Amino acid sequence: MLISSRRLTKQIGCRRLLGWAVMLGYGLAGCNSLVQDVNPGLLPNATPQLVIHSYLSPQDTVLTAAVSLSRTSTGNQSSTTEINSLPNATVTLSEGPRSVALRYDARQSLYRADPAQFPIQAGHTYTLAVSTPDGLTARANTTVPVLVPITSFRSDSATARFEQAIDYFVQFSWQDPANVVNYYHLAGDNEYGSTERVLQGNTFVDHPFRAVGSIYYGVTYGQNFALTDQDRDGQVFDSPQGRLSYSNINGQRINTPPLTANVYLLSVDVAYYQYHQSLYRQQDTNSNPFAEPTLITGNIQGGFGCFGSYCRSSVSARIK
Amino acid sequence: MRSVLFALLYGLLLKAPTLIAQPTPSRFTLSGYVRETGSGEALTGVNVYLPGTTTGTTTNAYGFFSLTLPAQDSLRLAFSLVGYQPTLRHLGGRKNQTLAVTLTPGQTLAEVDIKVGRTEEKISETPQMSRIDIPITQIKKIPAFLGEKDVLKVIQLMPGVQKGSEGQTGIYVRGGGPDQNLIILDEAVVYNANHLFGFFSVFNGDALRSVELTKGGFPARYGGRLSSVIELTMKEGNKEKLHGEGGIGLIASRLVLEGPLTKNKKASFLISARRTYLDVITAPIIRAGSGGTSSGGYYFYDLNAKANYDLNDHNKLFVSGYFGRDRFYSRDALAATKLENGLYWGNATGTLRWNHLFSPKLFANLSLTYSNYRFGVSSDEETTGAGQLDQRYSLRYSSGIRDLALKYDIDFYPNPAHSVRVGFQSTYHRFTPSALVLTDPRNNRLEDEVDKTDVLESGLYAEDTWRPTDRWRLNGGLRLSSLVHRNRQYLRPEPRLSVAYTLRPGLSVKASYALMNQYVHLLSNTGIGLPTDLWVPTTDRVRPQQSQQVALGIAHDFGGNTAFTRGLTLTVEGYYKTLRHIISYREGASFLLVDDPLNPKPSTDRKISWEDNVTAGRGESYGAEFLLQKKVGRFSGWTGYTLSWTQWQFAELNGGQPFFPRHDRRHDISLVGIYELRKRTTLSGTWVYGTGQALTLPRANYTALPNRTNRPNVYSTFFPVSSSFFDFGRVVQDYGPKNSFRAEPYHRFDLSLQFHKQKKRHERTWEFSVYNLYNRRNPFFYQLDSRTSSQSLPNGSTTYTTETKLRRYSVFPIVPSVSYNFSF
Repeated sequence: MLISSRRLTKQIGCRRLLGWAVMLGYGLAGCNSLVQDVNPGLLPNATPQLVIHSYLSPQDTVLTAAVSLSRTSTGNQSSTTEINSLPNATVTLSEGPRSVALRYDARQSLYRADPAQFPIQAGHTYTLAVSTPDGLTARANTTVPVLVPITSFRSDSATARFEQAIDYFVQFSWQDPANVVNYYHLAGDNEYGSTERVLQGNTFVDHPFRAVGSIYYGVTYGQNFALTDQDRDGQVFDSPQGRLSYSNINGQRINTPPLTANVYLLSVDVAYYQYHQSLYRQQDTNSNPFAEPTLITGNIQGGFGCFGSYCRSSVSARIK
Repeated sequence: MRSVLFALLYGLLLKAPTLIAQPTPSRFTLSGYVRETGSGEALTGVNVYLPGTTTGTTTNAYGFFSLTLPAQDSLRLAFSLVGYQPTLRHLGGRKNQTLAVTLTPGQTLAEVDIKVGRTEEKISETPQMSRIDIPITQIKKIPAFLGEKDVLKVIQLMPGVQKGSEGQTGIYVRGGGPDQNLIILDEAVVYNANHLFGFFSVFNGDALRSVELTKGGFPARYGGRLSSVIELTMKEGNKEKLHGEGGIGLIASRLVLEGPLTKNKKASFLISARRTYLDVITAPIIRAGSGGTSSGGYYFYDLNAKANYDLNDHNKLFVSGYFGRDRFYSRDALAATKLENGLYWGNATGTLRWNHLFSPKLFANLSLTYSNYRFGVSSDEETTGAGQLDQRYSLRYSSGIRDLALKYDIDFYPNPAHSVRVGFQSTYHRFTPSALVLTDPRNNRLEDEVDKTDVLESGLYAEDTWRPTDRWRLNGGLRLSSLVHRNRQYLRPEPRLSVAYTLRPGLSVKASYALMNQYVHLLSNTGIGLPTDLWVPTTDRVRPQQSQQVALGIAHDFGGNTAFTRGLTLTVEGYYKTLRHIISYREGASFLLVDDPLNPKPSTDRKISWEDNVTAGRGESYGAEFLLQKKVGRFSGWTGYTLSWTQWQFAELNGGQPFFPRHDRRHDISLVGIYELRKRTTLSGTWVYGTGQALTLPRANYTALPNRTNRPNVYSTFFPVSSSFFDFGRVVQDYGPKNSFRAEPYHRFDLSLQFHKQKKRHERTWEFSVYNLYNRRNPFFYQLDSRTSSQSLPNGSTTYTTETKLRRYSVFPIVPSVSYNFSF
């Protein structure tokens, strides 16, 4: 909570002041005529390119790849084509002479294959190749990291001061493999069931419901938590405290616990790590027109996106 | 090498009394001070010479000169400086003499002019290149935004100097960054020379006596920055009578008072003050814009003070100081939430100097300086419910740098062929990169002060200006610079050499080489010089920045006494500069080091360090500069043109590929003209043109799909099935290579008309000026702006269409202004 308050104050304290600074300039001069549309042709040329996303894992039950096209940054864009998926691409996953074609699933708007036909194994290197009838091609490689098991797990709870509820926390540890650079992504979810009190006519009626919430490891809601073993190679790592999120609207939902908490430690490859980090960095700096923008770090040759891989270890625990 | 320099210093000091007591019989020395008539103000850069010969010297920063000549029956000695009437002295030529010379401000008298043969130092006769003196009198005549005369903005009009964004005082010299300029006010370093986010500089022109810019061929006495030295000297204060000067403008007013402190004219003082009233002007705009719930404002002020005392003919004391603050604040009072934000920054400097004359040939100055720069942010939010205080967030953030420095310089003039300078400087820096105090709703208190860093930076130098023959002039020297941080010491020799060869009278070819090291760095993630930029030192992990620069050029004094050619000079220079170990933030890092997305350290045992957030790279810059300048006459001004290329390369930026930094500017033109229409009416105009900045803008976008790492809420009816495999998509931008977008060119024409009138007790000047006369919408920044509209379909669903346009944001359209200035 402390950290989220830091973030809040950072935002109101600095971006707001930058906004004030701009407003002051515009206050001096009357602003409307000082903002003018510019010919978008001034922007560097951008022909549509393939956008590919695929994350392989030995623990996954399906092999998937999403393929779409990039758009120029100006002009009109409809919500119906937001992802701009390409249904007619040829998508092939291979490892040496072995390969499997991923077929387009129109309902899911992505390409998929059964991992039983093409098992993914830690330590192996895979290549994803995509081509379109228009002649666009792109490819990328990934080497699946080894599994790093969770070695211990703890849970805790505390009375929340203002929300009149209870905060639940989890924390876990793992041993970092020595002499190799490791990248981690922490995740988690919690499943809970309860009753929901709904007003029907003049009376309240209790309905059972189930839901899945997330676990947040100390950073802003909606942000991921990733780290490397840089400067700490071979040491025991403790995760930050993860806070379980669940819906507990005062007076309407009752008897929320027990919860089933699942924590995941993803050992990810460098492309996965860099891509996700750059996504969050760009989101963080986008709202400041004065800041130097963050470039997205992808590993797709001839396109955008990420072809990454990971191994997942997990612990499940019931928290009362 | 260090022992040799010490021996030289020691020898000079020991020898000095001997030189006084036993002058060489065949030679004699003329020395003394040159001052302004009426005020007693010391004059710097006065040309002191024997008319009709190339023998001569110039006064130093304290108005002192020394000229040792062969014994002769009599001689004539001329003194001249731009903007002053030259004077001629007839002297006996056998004995040492101490002179007290005064020069009267005003145009050259033709009669004297003919006798002295020339009226100002000829640029073709000095070995120094890449140096520009900017007369304060010209600064006061050039059009200025809202009438606020600004030294740094005039420097931006010189070739080789690029400006940052519209209206800002940021200075980029020969491809260097804004932190690579050594800005010194009375020997004290000024770390952030900006008011109002860079729209005004901190220097009040009324309090300044001289401004000098050096952008290459640095003499060994300068060190500590890579790209330029901007040396500003405050006036000493009128020794004759009480004098005042001031102005009332649209956004600020200023006042300078100076006068004698004692009846014997041995001491004088100067104080000046300036304050804006922008807060008063903008408060109603902000209040109206928010519907009465918000208030806010901004103001800055600065104060200068100086006093000096002539203890006797050989000793003088000076004490001077500067203090300035900018403060920006906003308050929002919503129904249940109260917000207060503040931002402040400012410099304080202090200098104590002691001039001592060991002999007519040996002048020394000891300076003790203090400099302090602080920047801070405060933010408070209170949320109340049912009349009770519910939640309170509070943040206090500050960063700063504090210097204590000791400097000793000796000027030694053994004969007209040599002018030797030796000295040392030692600065104790204390950096506080960030100090944070945070209180959250649960009254958790976090005090996170990044360790203060203390470093000792020193420099020891010796240089000689040598004229072996009438055609050759050299300035050679060596500076040994060092920095000590904890157990790590950097010791770097810095050779310097400037050479001039006279092809024919008035025309010389010059060359120079300089190696420079810089031990303090500015971290900026905006590139436009906001006060949020962070000063950090060289440490055991961050190495010093280093540059090497070679320059070659010609200098031509047109000479003659026609109205067109008198005082007309031309310099053309080419340069090549390399930069090593320049530092920058890693992508995405920012000045608030807590909560950095790059550094979400899970362990609390390790503090986040700014050193973790920086990356080092290199750069190169090369180009050609052309300056045609006329300092005297009814029509004066200059034409400057720069053609240049600057590229940076960082392993961790732009995928390791070279890129043009924001301030890379292919073409840059400045035309400045000042014309005395009538005796009391001055018309002036400036026109500037610059290639657009290199910026990074999105050229394409796509929907990024992060990995789904946790189970989605499969029970929710709002949950799309495809999200089982990927996390929710987010539109991200593809910027292409860094800074691959070129902004539109910048150009602007300013005009000013001044009416001077001598009243009974004072002189007043009305100034009417227009900034951006033809109302050019110059780019301040570009942004992609989106607007979304919805459309209901027959099947009951709704589609949303987002239209995105590229927009240019400008800051200043045509801005007329009027100001009233007075002096008494």
